[in-house]
Amino acid sequence: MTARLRLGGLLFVALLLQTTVASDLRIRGVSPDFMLLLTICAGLAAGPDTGAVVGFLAGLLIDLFLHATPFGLSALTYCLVGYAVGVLRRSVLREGNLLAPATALLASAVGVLLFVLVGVMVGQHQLTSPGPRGLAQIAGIVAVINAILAVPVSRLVSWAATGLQGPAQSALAK
Amino acid sequence: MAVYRRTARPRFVLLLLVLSALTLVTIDTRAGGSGVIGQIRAKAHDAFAPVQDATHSALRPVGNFFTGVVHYGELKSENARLRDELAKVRGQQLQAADAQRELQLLLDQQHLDFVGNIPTVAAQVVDTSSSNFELSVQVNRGTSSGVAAGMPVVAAAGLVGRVVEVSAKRATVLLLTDPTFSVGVRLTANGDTGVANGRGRDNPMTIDLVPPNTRLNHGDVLLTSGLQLERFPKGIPVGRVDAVKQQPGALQEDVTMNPIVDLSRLEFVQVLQWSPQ
Repeated sequence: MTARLRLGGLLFVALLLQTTVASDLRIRGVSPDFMLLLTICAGLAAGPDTGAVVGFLAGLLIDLFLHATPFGLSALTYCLVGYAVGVLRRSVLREGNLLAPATALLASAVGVLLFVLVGVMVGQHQLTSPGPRGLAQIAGIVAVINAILAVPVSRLVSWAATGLQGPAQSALAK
Repeated sequence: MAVYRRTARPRFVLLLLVLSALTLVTIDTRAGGSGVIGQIRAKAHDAFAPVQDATHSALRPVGNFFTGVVHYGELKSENARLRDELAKVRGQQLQAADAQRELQLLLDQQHLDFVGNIPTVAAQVVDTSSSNFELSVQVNRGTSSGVAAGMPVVAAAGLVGRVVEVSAKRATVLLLTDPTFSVGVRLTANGDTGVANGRGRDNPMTIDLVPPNTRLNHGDVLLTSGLQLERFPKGIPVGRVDAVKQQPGALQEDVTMNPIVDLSRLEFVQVLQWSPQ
């Protein structure tokens, strides 16, 4: 219960930062995606189950503040990203200093492009308007920013998720 | 069996979440952004607005603090009392200059010729969307000030966008450069019209349905057409023609246009209390 409260608190802080500070931190017109970063770190720290739930909630929260895309689109994308990161963490990814930044780098880029792909599948064709180069730039910048922030955020999420790790996660930790 | 249990639960959770998200997407798409989900969004905006305002207010003094630190560093030879006094005076001057600038911006918007007799609501831009796929701003006026969804929004130079979502205290304005935005424009004095479409940040707008051989020049100002059932009243400046290309055999000219309003520096806007006839 405490872990869920802590994760809820982190979601709130991430939402606050995303809806206030993020638009002022644009690099070449691209703003960071703190909600996606939180999702990735949750998948890394607590596995696919928690990664998917945190991603879903993070997506729902940010969807409240988006207007050009349907409510639930970010939730759908982020829960898939959180789940995938959790599964990869269990099966492929091994502990190391570069685990968090490297995963954040790749998963963020995939997350941005997945958002566009899923959006197009539900009729949001305007998401492709930046063109291939523009989309690559958005994905790349979000990925780099998230990779830079990944180490402190993943430690924060690991602390918050303490107690949520199930038997399988514990076994893997051994 | 244990292995099955480890992998099945997350998959079940994921399936549940994906289905939930798809249901929400379907409901919101069918409701066209309004309905129950629109109301939830509006409530969330109102509930979150004070926290957002507090955060913005908290960040502003931090910037002022760093400015002050730099300033004090240049005055090492003076004693503490003079430094304090000087800082206070300069702070007041900066505040006065900022207030004067904001006042001038508001005054500039008091007599907009293209607005005519349409009643307006002055609003301040308080936030910009942090999404990389949506170009919108939030203003500090909502239904309690008479703002409604669909109302056009202008600045001193011309069209800014339209209100797409409104709560009691806030409204979200979709900027005309957003890829989902379109507006009818009058091309020339002979009545030809076209449809201007947003193409995203830093990209010029495109104008569709421009008949071949339409006389347009770089820098021409295009106004809203105001045709029947248009979302905007007639005669609001939208943008300046950027480029005109005529492809051989094409059924229309390729025309691009830059917004006449600098959308990256919006501070105050006017919401036109106008709806299509």
